[in-house]
Amino acid sequence: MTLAAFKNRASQNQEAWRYTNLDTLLSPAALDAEPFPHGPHACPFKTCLVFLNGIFEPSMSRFGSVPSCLLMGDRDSGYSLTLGEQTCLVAHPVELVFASDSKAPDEIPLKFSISLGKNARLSLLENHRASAVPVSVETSVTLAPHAKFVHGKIVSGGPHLALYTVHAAEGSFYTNTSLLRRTRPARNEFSVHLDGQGAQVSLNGIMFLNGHDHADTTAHVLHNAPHCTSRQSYKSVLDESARGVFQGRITVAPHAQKTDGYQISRALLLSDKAEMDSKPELEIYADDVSCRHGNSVGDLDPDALFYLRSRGLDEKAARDLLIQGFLADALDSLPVEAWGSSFRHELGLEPL
Amino acid sequence: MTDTPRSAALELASQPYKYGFVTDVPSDTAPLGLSEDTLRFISTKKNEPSWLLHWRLEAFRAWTSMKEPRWAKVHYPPIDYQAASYFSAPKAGPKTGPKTLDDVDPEILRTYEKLGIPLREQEILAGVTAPSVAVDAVFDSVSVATTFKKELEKHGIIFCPISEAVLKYPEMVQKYLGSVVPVRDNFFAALNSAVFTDGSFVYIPPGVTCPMELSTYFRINAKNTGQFERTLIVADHGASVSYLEGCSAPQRDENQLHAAVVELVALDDASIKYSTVQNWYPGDKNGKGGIYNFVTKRGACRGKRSKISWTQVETGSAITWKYPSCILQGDESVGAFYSVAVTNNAQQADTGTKMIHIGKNTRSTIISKGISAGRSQNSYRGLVKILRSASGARNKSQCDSLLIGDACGAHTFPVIESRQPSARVEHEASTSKVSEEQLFYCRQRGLSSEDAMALIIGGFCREVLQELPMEFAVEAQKLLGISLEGSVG
Repeated sequence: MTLAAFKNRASQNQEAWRYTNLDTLLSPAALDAEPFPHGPHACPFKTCLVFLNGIFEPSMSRFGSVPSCLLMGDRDSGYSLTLGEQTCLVAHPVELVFASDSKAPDEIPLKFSISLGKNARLSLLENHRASAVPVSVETSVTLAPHAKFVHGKIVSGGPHLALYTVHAAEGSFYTNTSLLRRTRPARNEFSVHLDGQGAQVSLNGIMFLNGHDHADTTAHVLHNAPHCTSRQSYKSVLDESARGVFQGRITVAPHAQKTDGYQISRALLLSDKAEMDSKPELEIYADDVSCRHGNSVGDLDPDALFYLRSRGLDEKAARDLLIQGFLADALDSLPVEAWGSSFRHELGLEPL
Repeated sequence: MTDTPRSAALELASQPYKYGFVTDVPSDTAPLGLSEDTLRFISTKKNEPSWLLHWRLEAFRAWTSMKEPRWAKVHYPPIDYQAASYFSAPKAGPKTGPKTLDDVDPEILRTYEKLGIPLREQEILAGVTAPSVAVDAVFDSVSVATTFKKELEKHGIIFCPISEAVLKYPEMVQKYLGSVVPVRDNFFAALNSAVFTDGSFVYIPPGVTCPMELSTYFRINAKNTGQFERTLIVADHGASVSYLEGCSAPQRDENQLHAAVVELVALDDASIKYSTVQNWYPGDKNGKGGIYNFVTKRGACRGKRSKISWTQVETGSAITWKYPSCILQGDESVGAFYSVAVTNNAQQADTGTKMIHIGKNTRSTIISKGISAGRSQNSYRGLVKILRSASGARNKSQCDSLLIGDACGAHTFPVIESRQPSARVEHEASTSKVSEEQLFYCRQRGLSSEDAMALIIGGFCREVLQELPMEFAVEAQKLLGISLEGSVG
């Protein structure tokens, strides 16, 4: 989907884009504000596929022990990743690196279709390096019965718009963990359809923002079949004039009994110019369900700060420690252990 | 075992609407349709000063350029605003309202008797234990009686129909009317501002605690009319008042429109407690008829340490669109919203609150309990907004929904916007059903299935019901029984 298509979507559903106004956020004045640092990136994985300016670069990529037929297609028609029945790539986490250079076009539209056959397993980390031009991602994911897709995502900066549409069949499992940083702006949107009985989804994320960053996580989980489970858990740390948005929604269809849904958004506001807007919604049409949501916004606990300072830590160290603690459970529960170093590096935290 | 509670529930749910009768009194009704002439007609009928007519015209012009809101989770066919009459008053009453109860048509008095609303002071006083309640009775477009006026005047309290206040206390009305809900606030508020007919005006002078509960009872009677009342309550420095609102309407196949505006103003250290038991005709089992209830209620905590609390029990109306809100402007002001919304059959309710924190150390509490049964849809929609200036603000929201039966829906749309790090905002919500185990436990202790259901639902709503003044709590408990109990399965 191109930028124009995203803008068109936004204009058609203003309520869903209430906090993220693409026209102002993507205006030339907003975009040219500050260039982003392009740091070198060391990919720790054996399988690393690099896309430069939206085009797959075989020369910069390595497939490791993964067959190269995993990735098909081209920029215009979209790329596809297909895993046949019973294929398991969990032991070989795949990393997709998206980078841009001075030859980048005005915008980089990316289109992916990922499909996993019965019982297939895939773990994939999308790593979006800081980009000066808007990147828009449209990804559709199809999971056959009992397939498992472990999906990670890091956005290191720049204007970024993404829409993931996931269809999960019986007994399949989809999990996503996204880290959004230095985004001016970012919209990370999920539409997850639990179509088969017993399907599970777990959406997690960290928005770690400062300056004039703006990040919007919108996650809609549709329980279309009985006995499905969904989890949404997002943490935001907002400093300076950053603005975080969380819009979560669980919709339970009339016959989707025994649904178990949970969503939580927690945010730390570290400055009096920062803003957090959250909208955790439940839309329930079945009676035998358990759905809960929670939401909290606040500052660091002054008592905890005082305690740490009384133990000899200076103000900054104490605050950093508390922020790390706030994010700890999200980082500790990453589904692929090897992602830990990438996430921690991006957050500027010491490796464990 | 599954069947027992469900059938008990159905039995309870099928109790008829008690207040669906029509009072046969000749009435003076405006011709159908809505235009600037309608406003002039209303204004002339009410003998209004010209500033009010101008105010109405401004609202009407704003309204014609506005679109009906469609974002709420309610569905209804388009409303033909030209097919209703915007003024209906029982005939024979003097223009400015009856002077004594003897002037009131005995049919109307009988109506209020049937509804259980005491209008004769001596009768109320004769009741030995019951605390007295001053009542303003609004019948279609006019106020027919206001009780205990003299008693209240002794304390300097003004409690009268707003049409009377416009004539007697114009400066005060002009100062506060539309100051909380401006004429252009929203589509239905603009419509109300243009055509509002009656409602109550309350002013509590500085330092006075109102010695009795004040109450307004709204009754829609005439056919093809809507009710557009306007209530304005001002509590001056250190004053305090508790106000109750009740309503009902005849059982009809057509939908009738009710678009009210309620404005509350609390100055320094003042406190206003506003309680509603909303029992408009909800329509029949198939969703035919019933009141469309589009109401704008808002309170402004203007003064320091002022307090506004909304308590509502919503059981009636085919459609409810209502968001009693608090603007917490004064430092350390407090807002509260306690709500039980019950929907059954084909009812649709989209209700909730807005808490806007502006002042320092402002606090708000939201407790919302939604119960849906039958094929109904019940939504909580709320906003908690913490502005940069509201340092030390606190909010705690809790929204619970209970589903009874597998054809209804329960929805929660909370919005939290926070711009102040020292503010703490917490929101929790859950959705569940009455479990077989709970019912079984109660029944094996000897309760009938209806009583078991009533007990569980009573417990679910307890936090809200205990906020109601005593007279209302009893009434509300009964109403819950009628609208709901036994629909659980």
